[in-house]
Amino acid sequence: MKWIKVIIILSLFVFVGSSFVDRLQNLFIVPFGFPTPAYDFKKNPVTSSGFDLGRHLFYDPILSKDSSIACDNCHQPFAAFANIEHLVSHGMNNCLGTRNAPPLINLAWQKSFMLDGGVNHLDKAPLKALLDTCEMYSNLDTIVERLKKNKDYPAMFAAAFGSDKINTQRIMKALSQFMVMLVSANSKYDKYKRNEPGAAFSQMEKEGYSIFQKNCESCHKEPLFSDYSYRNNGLDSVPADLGRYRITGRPEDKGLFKVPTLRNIALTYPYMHDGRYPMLYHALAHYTKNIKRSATLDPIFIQNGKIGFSFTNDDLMKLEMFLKTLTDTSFLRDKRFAKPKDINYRNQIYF
Amino acid sequence: MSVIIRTILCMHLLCNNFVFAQSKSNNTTIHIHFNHVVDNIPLVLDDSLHLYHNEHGDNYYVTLFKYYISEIQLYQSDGGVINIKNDPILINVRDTNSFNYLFENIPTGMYNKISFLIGVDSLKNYDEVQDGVLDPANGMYWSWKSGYVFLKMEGVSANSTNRNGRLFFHIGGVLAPYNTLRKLEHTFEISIHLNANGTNNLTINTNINGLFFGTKTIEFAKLSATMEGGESAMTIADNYMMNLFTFNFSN
Repeated sequence: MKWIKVIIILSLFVFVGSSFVDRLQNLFIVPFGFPTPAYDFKKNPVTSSGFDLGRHLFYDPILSKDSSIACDNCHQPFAAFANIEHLVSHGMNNCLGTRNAPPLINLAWQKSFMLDGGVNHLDKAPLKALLDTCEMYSNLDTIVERLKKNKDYPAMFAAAFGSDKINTQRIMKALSQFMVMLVSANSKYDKYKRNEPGAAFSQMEKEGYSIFQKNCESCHKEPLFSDYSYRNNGLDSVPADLGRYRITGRPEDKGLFKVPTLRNIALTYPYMHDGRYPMLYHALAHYTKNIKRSATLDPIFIQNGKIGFSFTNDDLMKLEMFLKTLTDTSFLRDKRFAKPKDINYRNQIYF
Repeated sequence: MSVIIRTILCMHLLCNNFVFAQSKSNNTTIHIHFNHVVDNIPLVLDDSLHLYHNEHGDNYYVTLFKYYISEIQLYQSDGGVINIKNDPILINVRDTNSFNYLFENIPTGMYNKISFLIGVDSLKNYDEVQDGVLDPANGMYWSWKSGYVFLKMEGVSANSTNRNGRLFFHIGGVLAPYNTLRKLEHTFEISIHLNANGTNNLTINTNINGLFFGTKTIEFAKLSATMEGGESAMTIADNYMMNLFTFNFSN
């Protein structure tokens, strides 16, 4: 009799303990050569149940007003979680947005989010898309109610957070646990840097890398390929979209946007905050031919009184070849990030 | 044995002294009640037939009024500062439950000043998503520029330049130079005495017209909406820091 009691108590410990231990882990791993992440994992460690809940929420269209839009409408996994072929994205009622959807890559290293840096914590970033009438047009009370009534979510919240309470805070934390795991650090460039066999650069790629390091490194800093600062790269002499200015109100911020990462850049066309450049070649050529003067043009583009870089067509071709080495197919095909099969996608519409 | 009895008696006496000392330090309770008015007229919502007037003379009625108050402190006349409540409260004129607060364990005695923040302190604007009073689901949070809306007033006025005469005053933002967080500090005309029998009632009169005069008199024809922070929000915040609240005490 005594042994049965012991076995029952031990089983209870294992059952309760495993979810407790689950919540003590942090599945996030910093890749070799990467700096310390900015995200505070102490407040929200990544657990397998939290990640799985976040993955479900990311792909679930019930987060939108009429269940037609999920995060993956504008953040497509096969496009490094950007929105290919769309200058700007479409939201509810076919509302056309104003800015190009950025890829979701290496977010744990960012301190601010959105092209104008308006959001100061990753947990808060999805709120913009969820609540904006031109995007998912939803509201938090409705979302919480729908999740509570769903047959699967209460149990998933319990597994992830210890009780089946569903609120804004937990929804956002779960989404963050999914999003921080979208780490891209396994491209041909990464393997080359790690001296892995079979990852040798061709001569053109090496020369492209050299051109990159001489001219682009200051803003597109390795290994994240961005310093996440705000710059005006000369797209317009009078910007239609004032960018960072809308957040800070400072005149020197007019027309400034966040330096994007160049990882997987070959897949995240079209380019720039309004998607004006359809192909990588056009975005690169911008830096030789198309830089426009304005009061807030970043001084880095003015050298010896001359604007822009003097790349030859040959240089541009080599640069493009180098940038293609930043494509990370293991990231694009990672099954961990794939769409769950157990969600009701009946009402989802992809524009 | 008698040593033990004496030790126990001594400890008992010490205990009694301690209990006696507790009641002598005299902690009491204070009841704080928020009373909403427009100038001297009680606030009635949605009443398009009985219009209020702002300082400029524009008429209007009110459809929404919500605000955060935090870090409430009372100042003792002999120099001490008592923290009444650090965490924010959210007052919504549509929810009478949010008007009344009872605070316990406040030392009795004379107090000459009160202070609180109108809004939520800077650090909380940068923190992870909060639950409860600070949950973004309360509708007092900007998703496009992270931070709390400290005070929200909506209404209708014939002088508004918005569609359907709507008025929107959403005051928030902590990034310099447009930090709209305001600390209210009020010295009581007559110092208040919190007595031991706990019938201390502090009424805070919230005068909605306080948004519209002070540093600058607001004309709805020139400003009928501010929802993005910045200079216009700062003007409203400067006004209401001076003129939103008056205080009545009784016990």
